[in-house]
Amino acid sequence: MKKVFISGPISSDFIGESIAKHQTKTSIGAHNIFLGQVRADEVEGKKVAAIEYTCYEELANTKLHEIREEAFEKFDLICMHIYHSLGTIKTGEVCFFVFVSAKRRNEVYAATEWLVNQVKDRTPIYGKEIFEDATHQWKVNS
Amino acid sequence: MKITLKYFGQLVDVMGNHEETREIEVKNSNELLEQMKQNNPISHIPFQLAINDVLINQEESKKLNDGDVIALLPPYAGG
Repeated sequence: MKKVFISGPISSDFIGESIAKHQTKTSIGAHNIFLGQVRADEVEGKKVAAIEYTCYEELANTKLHEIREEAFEKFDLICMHIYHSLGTIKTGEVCFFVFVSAKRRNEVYAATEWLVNQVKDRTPIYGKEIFEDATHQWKVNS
Repeated sequence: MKITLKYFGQLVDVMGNHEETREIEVKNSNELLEQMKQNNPISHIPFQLAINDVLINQEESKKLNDGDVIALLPPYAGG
């Protein structure tokens, strides 16, 4: 089972190293990356300062494994990686990283969008939006 | 029989904890749902059930066994 969940934000170093690791895979001609960043939404005059992510890890890992298998059946990919943060992620920090590689570019655009949507729709992850005044509300995906 | 209930997302706030063990009289998941909706302030929150880490279809009622772990999962909000 591939490790998806990372404690804390996903750093630029981590993203950079992930790209560098693929330089030995020379059949790849196209990479595509999606990065989800915590947005400072404003709700009734209060600003979001961070999102605290939690998940139902046992079920989440099963679902992510299914999504991964389906992605390889659906698209002609050479490799793919999904990472999602757990814990408190401040606004401006990256919490979601999807990285898709294939021979040519057409596949990676479609696969990235499909993967991002599947992870959001099918994986039991929860986000508590913490406002600057320390009150909170539960994030709802639109 | 004794079961463990696990709460996620908004349900953690409403139920006041992440997990609890309960002694129950009901035989299946539908009866449990009915009982929970009557006795708890969760009737306005939509959720799915997972029994022992497997999601169940809300239309089918699953037999419950002693020691089962039942997760109550509101709509997901990853990304």
